[in-house]
Amino acid sequence: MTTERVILFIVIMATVTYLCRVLTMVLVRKKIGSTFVRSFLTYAPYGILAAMVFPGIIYSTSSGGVIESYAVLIATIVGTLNAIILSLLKRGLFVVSMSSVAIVIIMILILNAAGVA
Amino acid sequence: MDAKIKEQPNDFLAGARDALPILIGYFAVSVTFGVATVSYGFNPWIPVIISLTNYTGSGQALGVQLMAAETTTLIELTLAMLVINIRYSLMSLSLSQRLDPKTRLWQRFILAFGVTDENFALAMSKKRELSFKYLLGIELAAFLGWLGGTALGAFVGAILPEIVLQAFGIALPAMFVAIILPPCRKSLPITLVVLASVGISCLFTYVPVINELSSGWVYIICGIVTAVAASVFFPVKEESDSEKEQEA
Repeated sequence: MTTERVILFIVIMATVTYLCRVLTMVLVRKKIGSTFVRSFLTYAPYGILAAMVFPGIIYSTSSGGVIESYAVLIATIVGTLNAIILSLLKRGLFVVSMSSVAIVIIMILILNAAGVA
Repeated sequence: MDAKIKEQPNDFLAGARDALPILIGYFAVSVTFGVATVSYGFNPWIPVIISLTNYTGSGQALGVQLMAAETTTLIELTLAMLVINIRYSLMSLSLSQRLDPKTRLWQRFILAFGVTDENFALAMSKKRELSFKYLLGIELAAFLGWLGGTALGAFVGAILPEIVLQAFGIALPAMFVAIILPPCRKSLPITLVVLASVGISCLFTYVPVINELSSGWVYIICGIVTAVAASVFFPVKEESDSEKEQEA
């Protein structure tokens, strides 16, 4: 990816994010009456994040969407299950994320040592 | 507590002190963001610049994943950012109504930059009018944690061994799991949104022909379709603001 493209992406990200925050802060002074709009704003982040996580998380440890070995696939599935279980137990973001990373590292090392390719 | 407390000179420090737990939490999460971004092959300064200019967890992570996918178009990026961040408009609106009426327009432009889920929840949990200085104290303290953690993660990440970086690919998705699943325990509509979205996302990944669609569009479609359906079948009542405060 070229530097120009990276900068362009960051500018767009920052602009859209700031506009979402600033417009209602400086322009609108009354409540959003529409229940539908309020509901949509509540649900939309969950919808988009869920789509991004599954099934993408299975390929998250491979580059280019091609899983390189069974060892990596199994390690990532275990890491994913760890994230799901700890999240349902309401562990924090950092704990969930880091434990999954650690599990993937350990599982890959163990499976490679055990000769799983 | 008294509804009206006069703005005090130490309001800024009071805000910063109240935001200390957020500062620590942000630090930890943004270390992950820094390492993960570098693990996608970006220069360590990239995540730092992103954190400096965006100041949002889920939006940044989504943006970086779209950046890492070579085929992402600018329109996809813009729409995806809009869907993920549009919730902030509701938070800014609520905050705007709690601000000290003397707050100037330029002050509102500054405060808007620091509206995050956690800062919002903390500010709204104070049952009083919010002064510019108090809110700025919250936002700046949390921002310090966010930037510091990103920088540490980015520059430490640059020297980590290959297998660690590979494993860090799961860091951001795992973090999203931790964002979307806990609310599912309390809310059936959110559970259904998550399940439906995963289902549609899987279709677009595995069914021939439609799996040609690039990932950005899939996220946008899933987000909009499931949120519209949930809004029709499970409209959110007015009181949702106070529920949100208690959850956070």
